[in-house]
Amino acid sequence: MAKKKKKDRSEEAEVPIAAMIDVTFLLLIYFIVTSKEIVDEAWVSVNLPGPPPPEQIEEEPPPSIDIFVQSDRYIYQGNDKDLDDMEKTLMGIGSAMGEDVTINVKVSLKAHHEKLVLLLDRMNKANLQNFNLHSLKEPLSQ
Amino acid sequence: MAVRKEESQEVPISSLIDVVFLLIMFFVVTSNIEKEAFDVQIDLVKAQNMKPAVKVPPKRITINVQKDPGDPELGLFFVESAMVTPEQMRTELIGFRKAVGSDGVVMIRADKELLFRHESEVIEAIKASGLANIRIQAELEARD
Repeated sequence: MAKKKKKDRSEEAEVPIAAMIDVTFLLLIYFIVTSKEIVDEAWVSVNLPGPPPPEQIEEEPPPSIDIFVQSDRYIYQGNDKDLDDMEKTLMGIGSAMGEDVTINVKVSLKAHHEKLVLLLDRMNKANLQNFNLHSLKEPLSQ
Repeated sequence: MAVRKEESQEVPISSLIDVVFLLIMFFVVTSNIEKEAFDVQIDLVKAQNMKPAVKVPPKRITINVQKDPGDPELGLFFVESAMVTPEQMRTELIGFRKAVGSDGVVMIRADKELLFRHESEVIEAIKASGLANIRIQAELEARD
């Protein structure tokens, strides 16, 4: 009788380890499956053009250039350019005019986002980080 | 001798459970961080020369702009992971500026094939809300 009592007590104290491990692994698999690949991101800070000055100041304006971003090409000083040409041009601008030159990036509404970001990426490469972003309401007639 | 044999066969269940729970905690925490910024699947432009986004700014709001799968000419706007209309986006941006001040950062994550017209809409909304710190996000690609 005493022996039976002892056996019952040990059964009561048992923890259902197997079931707990089942649940734990189920949760683990769920989180592994639902987690997505984390992509390393990079960024570029954008300056928006400020309001025009209230009155004309007689100072010499800081050097600036205009680059147009169209849906299929870039335009600099009236010449059509692809991305590789633009990279060389930007390197040249950086060495000739210094890094303080302001670049007015004028983007057509029909241009793709990729076109703009790749230009900004190449500008970063040429250490030209002083730029203003403008929306071009009408595409340039060429 | 028999007792020693029994001891050596024992599986260290408690430490196994410790490790498993630790892994679960890891996945719970990382999946929450992920939800905040990467919930909307955006095909970002691959860039090599931009600053790596090592640290996310503390006062920030993310605007995701996705190309509409039904009509590539259209854009779908998301504030964090919630889809919004352009009007709702403006309201959210104004609310964000009121909550954190004008030094709050707006991170734009746009699909690479998105037309600039839609990005311009976001930029106009940011300007109208009184915010000026804008970051365009890209996918960092290793240099050759």
